[in-house]
Amino acid sequence: MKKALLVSLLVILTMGVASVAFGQETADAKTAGLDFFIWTVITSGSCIAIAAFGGALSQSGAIKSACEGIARNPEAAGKITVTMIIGLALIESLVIYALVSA
Amino acid sequence: MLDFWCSTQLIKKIQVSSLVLCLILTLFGVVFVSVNFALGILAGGIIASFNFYWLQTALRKIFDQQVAFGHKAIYYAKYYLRLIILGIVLYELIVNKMVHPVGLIIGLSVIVINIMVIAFTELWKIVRTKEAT
Repeated sequence: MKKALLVSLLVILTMGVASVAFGQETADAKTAGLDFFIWTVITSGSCIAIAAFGGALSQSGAIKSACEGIARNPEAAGKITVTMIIGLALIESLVIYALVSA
Repeated sequence: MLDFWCSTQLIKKIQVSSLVLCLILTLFGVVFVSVNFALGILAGGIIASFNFYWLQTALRKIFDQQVAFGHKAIYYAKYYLRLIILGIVLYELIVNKMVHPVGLIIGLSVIVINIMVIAFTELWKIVRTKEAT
């Protein structure tokens, strides 16, 4: 009787430990999934932030130079504007790529 | 040669040829990949062309010295409105999975590809002219 009780207790204990282990695995999988999601959000946010920072910096530099050029030589305003538009379109396309990737 | 690069003719050439390139790439997408991919190229190409047209219109008006400062404020607002609309359209296209993302990126590259092609064409013309002389 005592032996049977001991065996049943052992079986219950083993099953309990196993269920805890399986639960741990599920929790680990959930944590890994959550970690992946968190890192995805951080990476995509950083991606667009860096792209916007770089794009804004370079576009402001281009516009600053264009304004200086037009102030020095107002007759060349048309030519400077066309060149600047092409430059800005090229810079902006990089930021759009980052936005799509993010 | 430098005059061409600084003329409004160049902008028009980029606009027209980008639409043509977009249509060609869309046809290639339909034939060789899938309809969803081709739709991505078409959507990206139209967005890029429209974006470029809106950008150049706004910047021309902003830098035009004959336009009054009060009117320029409208074009500043339009410049930012363009960015907001672009963001919303791209978000809807990607999140609702309306088009293939790779196709969309190829379509958005139409303007850049065009500028590169025109640059190489002009470079080739310069090289040929030098070789002839």
